[in-house]
Amino acid sequence: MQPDAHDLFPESFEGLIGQVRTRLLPVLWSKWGVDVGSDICSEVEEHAWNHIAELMEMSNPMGYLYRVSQSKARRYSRWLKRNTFPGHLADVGFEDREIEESLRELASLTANQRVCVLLVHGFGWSYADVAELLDIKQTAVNNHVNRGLARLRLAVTNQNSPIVGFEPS
Amino acid sequence: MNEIPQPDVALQRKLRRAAAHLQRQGTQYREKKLLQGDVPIATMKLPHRVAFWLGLIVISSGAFGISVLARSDNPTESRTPVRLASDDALIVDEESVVQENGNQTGEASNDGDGVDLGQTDRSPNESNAVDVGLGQSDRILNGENRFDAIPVLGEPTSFPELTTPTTSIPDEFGRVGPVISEIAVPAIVKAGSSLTFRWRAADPDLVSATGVRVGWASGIFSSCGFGELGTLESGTTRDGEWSYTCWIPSNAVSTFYSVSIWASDMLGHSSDISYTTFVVEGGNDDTSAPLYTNVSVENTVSPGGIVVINWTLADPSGIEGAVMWVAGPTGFYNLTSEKSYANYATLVITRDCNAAGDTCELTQSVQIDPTSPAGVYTLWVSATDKLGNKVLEPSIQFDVTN
Repeated sequence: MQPDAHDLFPESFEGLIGQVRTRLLPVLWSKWGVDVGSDICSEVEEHAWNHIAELMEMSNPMGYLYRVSQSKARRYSRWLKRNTFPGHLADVGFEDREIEESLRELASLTANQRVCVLLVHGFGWSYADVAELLDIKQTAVNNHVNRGLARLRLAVTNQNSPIVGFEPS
Repeated sequence: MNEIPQPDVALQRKLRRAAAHLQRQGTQYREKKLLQGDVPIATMKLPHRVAFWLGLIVISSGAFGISVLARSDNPTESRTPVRLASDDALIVDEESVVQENGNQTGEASNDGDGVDLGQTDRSPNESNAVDVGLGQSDRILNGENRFDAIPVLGEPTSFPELTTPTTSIPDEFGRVGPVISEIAVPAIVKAGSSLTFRWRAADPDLVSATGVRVGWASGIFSSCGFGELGTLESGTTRDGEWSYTCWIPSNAVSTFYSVSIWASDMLGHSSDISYTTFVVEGGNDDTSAPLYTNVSVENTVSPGGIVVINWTLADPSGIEGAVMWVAGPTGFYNLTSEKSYANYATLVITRDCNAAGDTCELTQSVQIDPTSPAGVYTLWVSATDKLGNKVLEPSIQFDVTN
């Protein structure tokens, strides 16, 4: 479900934090996985708290905070310190095989493709919302989605899908 | 602009389920981190901030009181569950020691060194009051046990519920998830028909997501949703009525299904209600998960090496999928290296099935992660039949040697 931004009192800092958790967090989960994405979100919230005045004057504070999150993400990816998307694979596996497969296939996409595909077709965002938050053009979102879906369709028909071991569903 | 791509229905459904799963796992992860104090306190609401620090102070002073009282020379006295009236704020009486599923959940014992709250062998799903109210406070204060959901091996029969680890939040932290009510589920559903769930979710911090999970004793209803998101039918995200409709396939297992409604608000608080059941009639009578036999490890293996596993699966409905998970001393996840004990990117499974397709010989190879220590490891078999009946349980152990 796409968040209703009008319910969030976006003129207040609390509303902004609410938007971070409803709009930015799904992006970070999609890009960095559950655990790293959540940790980065916490750091972004801390950054927002320390820069309240500047943020409240910005026209697109969420776009700015997304850029902040990319900076914060660097230390998680250096030297392959932590697994990123989708996070703890084994935790996922025994819940639902289809979800586990889906996350594995999504992990094979580039980060931008994964974010766009998940936001548009998983979380139900519009192309305009994705483009605004990522600060890219809608055509770029369209390209990422198009290429991502094409790769996912290939993965679905891959006869050697390792987890399945049997007929792919 | 280029033509907007549309995924096929199956892919669209998989993506929506993956997104719902991320949402749910992420919310749980943030709850755990909040309990450990890792979420910036500055970003909490003011009342939550005050409650958080007051809670820490009370827990800290209470833990000191308990440690003094628990140093008794009379072991029977110290093991009496469970009224440690050192401080009104920390009274834990019989009512607050929740007995779930008949498991013993909280007793204080004196081992001579301090207080043992008896939670060594408990799962994260057990013992809400004592675990979070007292034991969790120690974790908050010393920063240990970062991933409580990861089970510790030892007694396979007492291995915790793995599918949906949940964390109970103490009231003193002022953290309450959405209130779920007015759940409407038909009592009996015919296989090959649609089923609509309706419920009401209300939260002053606005409901960010809510949905249903459906399962039966040995399976999950993948066609009907595991963590699927509901649709807001009326009202608002502050207080509204939600619904979710799914299709019950004609070959659905004819048995009782449990329905769990979950919801999370925009501050990350979540609630989960296992409310009711319904019965599917006219479907398939196979309610058994695949039977596994002849599990063996073909070779000796060292960290970084490939382990080869053979096993046999049988199910009258046909085998859908299977995998062997490798569990080490701290579960499936190595807390030291922050990686899984096995590198599943190297996973390869081959099968050799009979003509009917109901019995298969499987061979799996997977690399033991180079960071994994030597020791005794356990193989957890996970297998699903064509109907969705699933088994997940420990099978055999094997040694990883340097």
